Amino acid sequence: MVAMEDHRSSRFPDLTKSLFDDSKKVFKTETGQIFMFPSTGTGAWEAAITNTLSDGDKVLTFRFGQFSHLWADMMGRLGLVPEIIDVPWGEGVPPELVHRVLEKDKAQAIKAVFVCHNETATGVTSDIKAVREAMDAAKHPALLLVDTVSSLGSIDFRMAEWKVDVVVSGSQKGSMLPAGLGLLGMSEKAMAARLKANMKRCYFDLEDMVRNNPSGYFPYTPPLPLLYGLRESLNMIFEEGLEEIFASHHRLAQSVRESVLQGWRLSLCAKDPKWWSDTVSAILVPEGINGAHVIDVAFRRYNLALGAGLSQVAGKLFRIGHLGDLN
Amino acid sequence: MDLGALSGAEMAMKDVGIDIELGSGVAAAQHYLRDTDAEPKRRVSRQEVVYASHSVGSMEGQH
Repeated sequence: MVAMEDHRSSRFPDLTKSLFDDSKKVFKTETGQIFMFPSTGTGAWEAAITNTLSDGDKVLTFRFGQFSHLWADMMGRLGLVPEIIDVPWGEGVPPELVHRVLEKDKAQAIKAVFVCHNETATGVTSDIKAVREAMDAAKHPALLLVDTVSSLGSIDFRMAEWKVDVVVSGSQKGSMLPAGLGLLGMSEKAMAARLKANMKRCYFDLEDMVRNNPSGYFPYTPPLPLLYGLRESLNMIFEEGLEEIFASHHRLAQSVRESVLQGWRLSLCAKDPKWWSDTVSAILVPEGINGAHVIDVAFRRYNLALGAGLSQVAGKLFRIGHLGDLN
Repeated sequence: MDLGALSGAEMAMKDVGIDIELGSGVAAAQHYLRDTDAEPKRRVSRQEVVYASHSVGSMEGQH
């Protein structure tokens, strides 16, 4: 038996303050603020929306996989008015389209642009730097909100340099932890937008975090084991080095792609190399084969967990995840 | 881990009737990994050989 630690103790902030500070190095921001919720990335999606936007706000988003679809769905259900641009599954966000849409929005009715950095369902990585450049070229003030659940700490991501206003992530991918810790990075611009955002929020209200976090505490019971786990993950990340981790992920991802393309002579869902993800590969199965069958056999006969094809690509592919603590 | 996953995926694909050659994907990955070795390739010194042998319990090469 391990006694429950008192998360109101005078010693607890020694842990939490170091997490808030050190996580910034992974997000690559100095002026942004990091928040941690007992939730999955889905909760962090909701926190991102409700803390920065208002009922009826028009937003721009792109749907090119199950996770970008689910975030877009959440936007509508929470009361935003999303302009959803459908992109073929297997491609990423086209920066030129971001530019075109924003340039036409002379009234600046669009309040935010939502992008999924790494679409886990299709193994596609979008170019966030190019999206930011497109927004700047259009001289549009919309906030940039980015889902980095399956990219942060594994694929190059630069919150400050790319002027990302809200970064959504979770503990179960690059942080190498169980699911249950929702991570949110907020820029100064996003923190200012928060003060005008009128969406209803309670559990995910940053105001409660803002009041408690600076002293190292949480407004409600935090997930202590995950916080200790995050401490260890950050230590591991800094010991290896972020850039070395990115290089290692690229090398392992490329070995999987060599296997798929050169060995098996199959195809990836991500058609163009510019979209190839270094954290997950989605492999198309031949016509007449059900990808779910491959996954089930791998699990039952070989004790191997492969990822399923979701929604539009259900049965058409299976996925190999190659991120985190992998050799 | 990487090669283990590829090996398992290969067997599962073969089991469900996908026309692939067992070992082909693993071999392709192995070739790539060998060609992009994260550690620099170099000739080890005599002293290192002795140490390596000793560390696994062999008496060969000891002075």
